[in-house]
Amino acid sequence: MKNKLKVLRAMNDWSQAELGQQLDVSRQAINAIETGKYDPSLPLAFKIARLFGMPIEEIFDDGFEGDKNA
Amino acid sequence: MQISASLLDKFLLLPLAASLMMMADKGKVDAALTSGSATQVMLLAAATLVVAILAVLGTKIDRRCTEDYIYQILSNAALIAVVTAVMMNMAWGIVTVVDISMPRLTGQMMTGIVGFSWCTAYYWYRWRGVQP
Repeated sequence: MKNKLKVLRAMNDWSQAELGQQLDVSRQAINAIETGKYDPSLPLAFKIARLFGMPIEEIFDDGFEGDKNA
Repeated sequence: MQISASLLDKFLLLPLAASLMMMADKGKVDAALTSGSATQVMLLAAATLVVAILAVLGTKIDRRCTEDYIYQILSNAALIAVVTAVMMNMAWGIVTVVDISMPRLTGQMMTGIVGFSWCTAYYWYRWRGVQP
């Protein structure tokens, strides 16, 4: 799953460790999410969305190209 | 207390080395044949059930102490360890039929195989990620 976590983190000038601290996860977990090696759990995805003040689907892209208005 | 990935990276080197030593255990070539009695089966099944329930309860603590990323890696690696142990048991059974000088797998060896495959899978997932 693609995500904008790296971009959002850079916009806030946070290191992976700093972001991890705010989300209560390790730097390795942030790195794994950013490099697409791991999809965060739903609670963690909500935490990330809340931290950046954005909806989950604006941060994470599952590649689904269906009718978004349906 | 949260278990960090970097700490686990270092810690798992210990069981990895231990599992290799376990696999080096000298097996019995001429093990006495014993027929599986009903008592033996019942004892083993009951003991396994108790240990399995304890393990289920134990993983609850693991889950609380481990972040989701690490827990997912550990559980994926555990699945690999189980599959590897079953496949190795079958494959080694064939080897001992072909070459009778090779020892049968002992419990110690099996524990070694499980530990080695679990640790190897852990490092693999840390390196490659857990995505299919």
